[in-house]
Amino acid sequence: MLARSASPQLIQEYVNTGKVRYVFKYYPFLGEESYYAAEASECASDQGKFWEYHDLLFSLWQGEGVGTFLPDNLKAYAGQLSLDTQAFATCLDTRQDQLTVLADKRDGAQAGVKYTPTLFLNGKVISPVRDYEQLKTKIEDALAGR
Amino acid sequence: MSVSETPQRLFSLKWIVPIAALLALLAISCKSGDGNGGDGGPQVTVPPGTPGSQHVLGSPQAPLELIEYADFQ
Repeated sequence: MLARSASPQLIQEYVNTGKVRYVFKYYPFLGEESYYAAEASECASDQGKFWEYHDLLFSLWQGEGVGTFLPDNLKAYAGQLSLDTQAFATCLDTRQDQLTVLADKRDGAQAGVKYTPTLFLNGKVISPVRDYEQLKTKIEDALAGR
Repeated sequence: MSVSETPQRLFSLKWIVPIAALLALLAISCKSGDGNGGDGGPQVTVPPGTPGSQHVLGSPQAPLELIEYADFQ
C-alpha cells in the first residue's frame, strides 16, 4: 500500500523536488473503524496535525476490524501527538467532520474508485501498484510524456 | 391433464413478473438508502456541493498530480 510503505520515498524524491503534487483522499469502506479513523484524521487536521496523525495511523495498522481504530484508541493517539484531547474528543464524538469524509468518498466513487489504495496520476488510474519501484516507473513515464 | 394445468401456470406466471419487479425495486431502494454501500458507514446523505478534504503536499506548479484514495484499515 502506497500510503503505508512508499510515501516517504515518494515525497522525498518527487514531491519535495517539485515534480509531483500529492493529494490524499479518504475512501473508507472496510467497516465502522475505517470511518472513525478518517473522521479522527480530520479532527487532527482541524488542529493542524493531519499528516502526523495520518502517519501514526498507518504505522499502527494491524488488520481490519481489530479495534485499533475505535474511538477511545483514536483519542489516545491524539494525546500521543499532543493535540487538544478535549477538542479532539468533542470533534470525534459529534462526528463534526463526517460530511467531509463522505464527500471524499462520494468524489472517489464518482471517479471510479472501487478498492484502496486507488491512485490517479493526472486523472488516470495507475493502480494497483505493486511497490514503490513500479510507482516510480509510472511517474517517470508520465514525466517523459510516455 | 395438460389442458387443465396450462391456465394455472399462466396465472402463476402472471404474478411472478410483478413480484420479481417489486423485490428488485425493494433491493435497489435499500442499497441507495444506505448511501455508503452497506459497508458499516453512516446512514447520511451528503448535500450536493459539500467539499471534500484538502490534504495536499507539493507545489501547485508540479507537472504531475498524484491522488490517492485510501482506507486506514
